Amino acid sequence: MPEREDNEDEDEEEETPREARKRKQQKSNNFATVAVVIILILLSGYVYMGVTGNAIFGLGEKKGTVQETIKIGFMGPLSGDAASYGHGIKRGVELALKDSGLTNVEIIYEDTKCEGKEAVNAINKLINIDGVSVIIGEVCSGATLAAAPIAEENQVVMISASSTSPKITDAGDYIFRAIPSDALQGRFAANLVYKMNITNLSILYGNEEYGIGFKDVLKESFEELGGNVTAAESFERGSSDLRTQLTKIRQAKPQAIFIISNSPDSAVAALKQIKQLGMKIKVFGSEGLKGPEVAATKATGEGLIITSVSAGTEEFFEKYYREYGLQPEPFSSQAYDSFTALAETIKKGAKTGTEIKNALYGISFSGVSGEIEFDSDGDVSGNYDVYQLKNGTFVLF
Amino acid sequence: MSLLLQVAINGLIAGSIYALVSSGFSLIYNTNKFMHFAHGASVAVSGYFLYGFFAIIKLNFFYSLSLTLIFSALLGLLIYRIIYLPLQNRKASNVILLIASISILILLQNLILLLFGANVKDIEFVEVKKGLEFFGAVITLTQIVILLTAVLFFIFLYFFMNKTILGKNMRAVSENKELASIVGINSRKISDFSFLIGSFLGGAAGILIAVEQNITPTMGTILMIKGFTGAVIGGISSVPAAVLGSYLLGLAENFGIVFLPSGYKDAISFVLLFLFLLFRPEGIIGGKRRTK
Repeated sequence: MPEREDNEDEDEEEETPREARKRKQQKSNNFATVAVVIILILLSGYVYMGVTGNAIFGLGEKKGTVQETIKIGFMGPLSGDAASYGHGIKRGVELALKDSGLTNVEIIYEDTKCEGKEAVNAINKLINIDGVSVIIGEVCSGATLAAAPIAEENQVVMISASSTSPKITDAGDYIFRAIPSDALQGRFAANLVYKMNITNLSILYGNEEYGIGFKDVLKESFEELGGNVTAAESFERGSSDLRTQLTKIRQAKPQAIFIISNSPDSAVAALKQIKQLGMKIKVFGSEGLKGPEVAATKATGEGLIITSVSAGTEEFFEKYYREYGLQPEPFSSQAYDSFTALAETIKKGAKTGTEIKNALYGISFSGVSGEIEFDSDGDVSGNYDVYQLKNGTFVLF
Repeated sequence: MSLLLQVAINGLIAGSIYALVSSGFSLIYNTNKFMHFAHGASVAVSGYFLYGFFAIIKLNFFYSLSLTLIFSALLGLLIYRIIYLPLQNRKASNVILLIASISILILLQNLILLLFGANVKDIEFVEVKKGLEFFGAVITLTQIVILLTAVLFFIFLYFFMNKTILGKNMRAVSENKELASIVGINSRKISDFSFLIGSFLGGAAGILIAVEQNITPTMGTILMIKGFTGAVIGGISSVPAAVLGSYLLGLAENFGIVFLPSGYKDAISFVLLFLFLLFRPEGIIGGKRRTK
């Protein structure tokens, strides 16, 4: 080791003057240009990260050799702040695959981090390179909407287990979802809040498709009922400093706050900071908050009331627990039903995107998350449950 | 009134965290003249060090704290010795070092993801409760600690840079590496120390974020962008300027969204970054220093 260091010292003495000269030339005149380039590189780094994240997880494509195999794409966040949803959905899909008894199906997983541009990359790869005719995903509404036109154009079916934005209703013929639209949940939530004698509500929402769509419906329905939305503040998904947004809400003196978030990171931070700011108000949340991270906040989130799509039947709970040693995660049951619906069509002999699409519109069964029957927009109707966080677990309210 | 006071406090807390990130970044930049973007990841890693020591190994909080600071500083040194130094020895240009730093950022983030998973981690050291109230504004004890720690660190850093021989040597190297080596300053040793101290400051930022908010594997990137923006606003060629710029950024972001819709919070910092890069790349203070 000492020998090597000596060498390095010599090297350095040689290079010092040259480097210094170079540095002088490069001084701050060019600094602006260099910095702009750096930022571009850094942003493109995000794109690259998706690829590496995938590689480390080892979830890349599995090379199938058997012919007649039907390839199904999977797009969702397997890394990043929404990864817990992605993994819950993946487990739901895998469980359904096992139960379906299908052996000629291969699922190709793509990590999209719930970001629109990643979803576009992923769907292009799935369609052009892997040649899939059906995709399960995306998870976040914004990413689903980003990928939907590409699926539509290539006549590839997309079926989401978790994207709830009302806009997806009109996203296209090939776009399905096994979860009801927020146009329904927003109305349900407005009713719930209003029935608890709250007339003065504030909304804290994620600044993206899901948050904006949900907020619009919630605000409209709540005001129709006669309530008043005094403040609606947004945050970037994943940001964990929401103090000023909450300060503005505190200033509006609402009786309750409704948090709409599909980033556990931000949801956990919001609950913590509501308490730190001494806001003694009722806290409501959307189903995005029903995850292990929020449950683990214990005292901070105690009493939180959330609206949620069905977590699944009793039987599904047992099956899921037996398989993974876990309670079903958010959207696991919808994921199970998404795949079951696909499996039905495959069993009926549908292979191409168009065949699967046509078969899906005719499907009707009672799934683990509720009745699965797609209307002409590819939506399902659904029931909601209300849960309250008590001692670190969500219990039916 | 209480709204503005509260927002000022929020801005100062955010600013303190940005300032801790950018002071380390700017210290390393000034001594070594390349952008160590992986600094953001070392901040994130130190958050996870603390989580590992405190929540997994269950050490006493203050042991965890000290170990985290030591490990963060050593991680910085390790990155320099294992990656940057060999590249420099091969006469790699600053752009190569920059690309290397971004790869380290991505690598470290993915390592965290692999080891700890993607879930949000919360260090439950301080009980979450309502803070102290004065004039209608609320501040928690942790937040007071954050403000004080940041200020204390900056005072120490100032004295270190101006009063100790090592600090003076460091400034000498950052002014003129060639001249410094002529008078016998070992610039590699100085680089070692800049990475140690810079990463130590980053470690402190990581700890404060972990205790005050929560930690996620990808938090380093956004922190790095904010710290870098702060440094550009103040003037990247000086550590105190970078600190000042970061506080200004924290305040600007938070006061900005009192008047603008809150969705513009990140946009404010990006707009500031571009305005400064285009019209005043030397920063607020940078220009003055040059004419001196």
